[in-house]
Amino acid sequence: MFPKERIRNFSIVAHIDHGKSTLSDRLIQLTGGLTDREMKEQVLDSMDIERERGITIKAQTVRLSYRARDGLDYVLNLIDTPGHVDFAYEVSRSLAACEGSLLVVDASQGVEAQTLANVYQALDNNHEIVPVLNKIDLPAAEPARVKAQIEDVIGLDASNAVEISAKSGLGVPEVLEAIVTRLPAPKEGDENAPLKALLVDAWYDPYLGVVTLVRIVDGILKKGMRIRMIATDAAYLVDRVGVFTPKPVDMDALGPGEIGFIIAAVKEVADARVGDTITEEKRQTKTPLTGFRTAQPVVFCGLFPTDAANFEDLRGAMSKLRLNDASFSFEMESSAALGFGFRCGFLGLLHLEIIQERLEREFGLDLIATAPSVVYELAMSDGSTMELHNPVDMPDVVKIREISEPWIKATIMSPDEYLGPILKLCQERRGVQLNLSYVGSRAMAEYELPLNEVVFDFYDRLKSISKGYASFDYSIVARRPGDLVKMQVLVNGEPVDALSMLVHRARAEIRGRAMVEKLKELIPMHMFQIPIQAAIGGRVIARETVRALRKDVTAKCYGGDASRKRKLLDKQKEGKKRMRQFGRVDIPQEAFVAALKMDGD
Amino acid sequence: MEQASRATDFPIVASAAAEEAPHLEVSPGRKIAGRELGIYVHWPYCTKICPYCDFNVYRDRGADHSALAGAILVDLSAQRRLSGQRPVQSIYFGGGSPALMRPRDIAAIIATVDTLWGLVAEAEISLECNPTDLGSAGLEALRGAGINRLSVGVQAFDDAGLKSLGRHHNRADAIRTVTDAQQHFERVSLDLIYARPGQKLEEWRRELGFALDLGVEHVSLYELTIEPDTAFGRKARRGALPRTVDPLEDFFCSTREIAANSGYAPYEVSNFARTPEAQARHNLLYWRAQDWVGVGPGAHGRLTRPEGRMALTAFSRPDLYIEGAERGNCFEEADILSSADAGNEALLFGLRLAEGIDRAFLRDVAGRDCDAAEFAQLQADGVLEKSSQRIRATERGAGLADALARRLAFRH
Repeated sequence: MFPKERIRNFSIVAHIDHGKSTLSDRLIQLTGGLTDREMKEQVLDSMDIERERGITIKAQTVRLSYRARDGLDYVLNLIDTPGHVDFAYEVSRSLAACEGSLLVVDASQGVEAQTLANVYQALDNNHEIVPVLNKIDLPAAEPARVKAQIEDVIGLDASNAVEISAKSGLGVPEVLEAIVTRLPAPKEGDENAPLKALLVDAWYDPYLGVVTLVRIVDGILKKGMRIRMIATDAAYLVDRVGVFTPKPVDMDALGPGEIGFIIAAVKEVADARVGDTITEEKRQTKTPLTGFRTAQPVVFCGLFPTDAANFEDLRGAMSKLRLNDASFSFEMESSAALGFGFRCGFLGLLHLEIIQERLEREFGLDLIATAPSVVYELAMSDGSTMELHNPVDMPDVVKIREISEPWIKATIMSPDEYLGPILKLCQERRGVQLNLSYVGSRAMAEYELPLNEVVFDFYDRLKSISKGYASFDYSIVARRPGDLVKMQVLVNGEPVDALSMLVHRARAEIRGRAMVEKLKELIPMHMFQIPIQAAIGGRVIARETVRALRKDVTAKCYGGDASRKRKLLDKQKEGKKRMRQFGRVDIPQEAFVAALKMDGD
Repeated sequence: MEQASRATDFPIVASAAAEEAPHLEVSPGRKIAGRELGIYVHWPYCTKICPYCDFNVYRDRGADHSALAGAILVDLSAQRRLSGQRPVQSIYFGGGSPALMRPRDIAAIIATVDTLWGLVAEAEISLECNPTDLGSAGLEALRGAGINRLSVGVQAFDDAGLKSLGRHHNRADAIRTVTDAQQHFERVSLDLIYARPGQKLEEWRRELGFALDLGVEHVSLYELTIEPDTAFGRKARRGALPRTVDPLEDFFCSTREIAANSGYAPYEVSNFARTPEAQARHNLLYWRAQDWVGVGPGAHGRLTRPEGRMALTAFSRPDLYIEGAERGNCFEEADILSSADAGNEALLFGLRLAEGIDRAFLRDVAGRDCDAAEFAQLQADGVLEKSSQRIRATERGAGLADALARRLAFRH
C-alpha cells in the first residue's frame, strides 16, 4: 500500500486532436511505464477503431511511478476519458474517481465545445484543474490569446498554464511536477474502516474474463478477500488484485486513494454495475457511495444482415460486443422488407457508427442500417402512454392524442466567420436560441434543438459549413410535444419501412424532397422506370422517377474478351448481394444511410 | 535470305516437343462436336501504342518477325491436334498491327492452316490495318498473300478527333486508305470510335453520315471505352480527360438510327452490314459461341472437346510465346469451362446479336434452361423476346446485352 499523501489521481480533459493521447504516451514514457520497444503510438487507445479515428471510447487507466523534484516517490494514476459527447457518461464516472484534471487545449485552436462540457463536469466533481497548452511549438500557436480565452470562457486562472509540445516532449516534465504540486492528494480515506470502493469500469478480456476497475475510498482490498457488490447484491472471491502500468501487474492489496483492477469470478460485464459500491462481505460499509445514473440509449436503429442467412452470426456478434459495452442494447425485430434483424439502442450517432463498423470489420458482417430514430413518447386517446423506438410500430394516428420528442441543449463553438450558416442550420432544424456570446473572434451559440433533427446529419453539416472548425456538444434536457407525422417512402409503389421516419409536419416536405432526390441518385437504373415517392398517410408530398435503363453494354466484345467478361459477370453477381430487393427494385445497402443525409444548404 | 526461308520452311507436322503434351491429345477416332472453326492470329507489334488501346500490344523496336511467325506456325500445328479435323471457315489477322507483317509470313500462315485443316472454298481471310500502315502497293501485296477482306482502323474522319485519339494519320490519309482499299478488296470494313473526348453528338452525326457515304459493305462503330490500364485510363483518373458533351445513350441510339437509315443493318451491338453476306463471318463465330483457335502472343481460343469446352490462353509476352513454341506448348492457361461458364459466355456473346441465341444450342452448352421467372420478367419489361427457336433482345433492349446477361446468368 502506498501512502495516500503521495498519490495523485487525475484525468485529462481535451478536445479530439488536441493531444490528449500523445501527452498520455509521453507521461508513460517519461515515468518508465513501458520500454521504448513496448511503446506504441497512443498506447491507451487500444481498439483499432480508436486508433484510426483518434478517439477514445472506453476509459482506460495507467499507474505511473514518479520521483518528483522533492526527492520523493509518487504514484500518479491517470484515468483516460473519452472525448466524445456520446460517451459523456464514461467521462462522468472517470472524473468521479479522481481529484484533479489536466485541461489540455491546443494553443492554436483554443477551447472547443466538448472541452467546455467536460471541464464543467470536472468542476462539478470538485476537481483542481491545471491548464496545459499543447502544440506550443506550432507557428500558429497563440498562447496569450488561448489563455485569455480559458479565463473568459471557463473562468479558470490560466496565468500559470503549462506550455508544452506533447509531440516533441517539450515541457512534459513540468506537467509531471504540476500534477504533484498543484493537484491534491486523495482527501478522505481511512485504511482501518470497512472496505468501500467505487466500481469505475468493467470490461471483458478474452484471457482474464471480466476485469473490474476500482477506486478505493476506505479500507483495504486484498487478494483472496470475499467482496460484496452492494447494488447487484452479489458476493465474489477476489482472485487477483493489480494495477496497470499500463501492463497488468499483480499486487497484494490496494489501500485508500489507490486505483487498480480486480478479477473475481464475475461472469458478465452486466453483473459489474458501474458506479456500484464494493465492500467486504464480513465487514460491510454502512455508507455506500451514491453511484451513477445508468446510461440510457437515445438513438435507435434497425440492423439487418444483408444476407438473411447471417442472422445468427449477427446475433452472436452483438452478444459479444455487448459483453464489453453494456450501454448498447438490442432486441430482435422483423421487417417485411429486410427480414429478421435487431432493433438496437445507442448513446448517440458516433456510438451507432462505431458499433456498426465493429460488427462489419471485426465480425465480417454486411449490414443494412435503417433510419436512426429517437425515442418518442405517445400519449394515447385512451389515457395510456407508450414509448416508440421504431416508426414502423407507430399505431393508427386516430388513437394518438399527442407525440412528444426529446430536446437537447446544444453548445456550438466556432470561429465567427462561420456563425451565419451555423445559426441558419440551427434555425432550419427547429432550434431555439438560448444564448450567443463572443470571446475574441470565437463565437459560442447555445440552442435548444429537437434530437430528431440532430441524429441524421446535423454534425456532418456543421462540420462542412464550418470547414471543420465548429465543435458541438449536447445534453438531453426535456421531452416536449410536437406536431410529428410519420413519413413513408414508396419505391415503385411499395413502402420501404426501413426508410420511414417521424418528422415535424413543417419539415416534412423539405425532408421528403431531399430524401426522394437522394434516392434517385442512389437507386441504379433498372429495365423499367421506378417512381420514388414520399408520403404522409395517403398523401404524396414528393416524387421523383428513376428512368429506365437504355444502354448497358460493352462496345467491343470479341474472342479475346470472353474470359474477362465472364469473370466480370461473376463479380457483378457478387456485387448484387450488397443490394436488397424491394418488390422488383434492387436498392444498394448504402442507400439506407445515405438517403438520410441531406445535401446543400 | 536465310531468315526469309525460315518461316515457310518450318515443319508443318508437330515437333517432337509438342508430342510431349499427351493430356491435350484427342483420343484417336473420337468425334468432336460439330462446331464451326476459325483461326485468330494475333500480331502484337505496333509502331506506336494508342492511348485507348488495352490489347496485348508492344512497340516494335526491331522485333524479330521471323521468330514470331515461326512460333505461330508451330503453335498452329500443336493446336490442330486439339481441335481435331474440321474445315476452317475463316482466318482473322488482328493485333497490334498485322498489316506490318511481311506478306510472306501471312502467306505461310494461310498455307499452313490450309494444310493442317483445309480452308473452305469461300473462306473469309481478314486483316486489320491502319491508314498509314500501307500504300497501294502494300495493299496489293496483302491481297497477293491471300487476304480477301480488309478492316481499316480509321477511328475518326476529322483531324481534331484523330488528334484527340492520339492517332498518327489525318482525315486525308483516312479517306485515301479507304478508297485505295476499295480498289484492291471487294470486302472492306471500317472502324470508327465515337463519344470521343469533348465530342458533340451533332458532330458525330455528320461524321458518321460522311463515313457511310463512302459505300463500304461493313462498319464497326464503337463507343470509346476508357480502360483502366491505358494512357486514357490514367488520364481519366487524374480528371484530365474531357468527356463527351452529350449523354452516351444518345450517341448509341443515334448511331443505330443513322446507320439503319443508310441501309446498314445493326446485326451486332457495334457492327453494321449492308447485306447478310457482308457480316463479319469470323466475328460471328465468337458471337455464336463457335470454336476458334487463337495463335500469337496473348491470343485466346475456345475449342469444344469431348471433355468440355476448353478455354486456352497463350503467353502474352512475345519472348515467352516464342520460347513456349520451342518447348511445344504456348499456353499460359488451358481450362475446361464449367457448363455454367460456357453458358454465360454464350449469353454474353449471343445477346449482342440481332438474331439472338438458338435456345436448343444454349440448353446444350449450359446443360439447362435459363431461369424461367427472370425470363418472363424481362419479357414483361419489353427488353427480351423469344420464338420457339430463339431468344433475343428487343429493339428497346438492344443496348442492354450486358444487363440482360447478368440477369439470365447461370449460377455455379
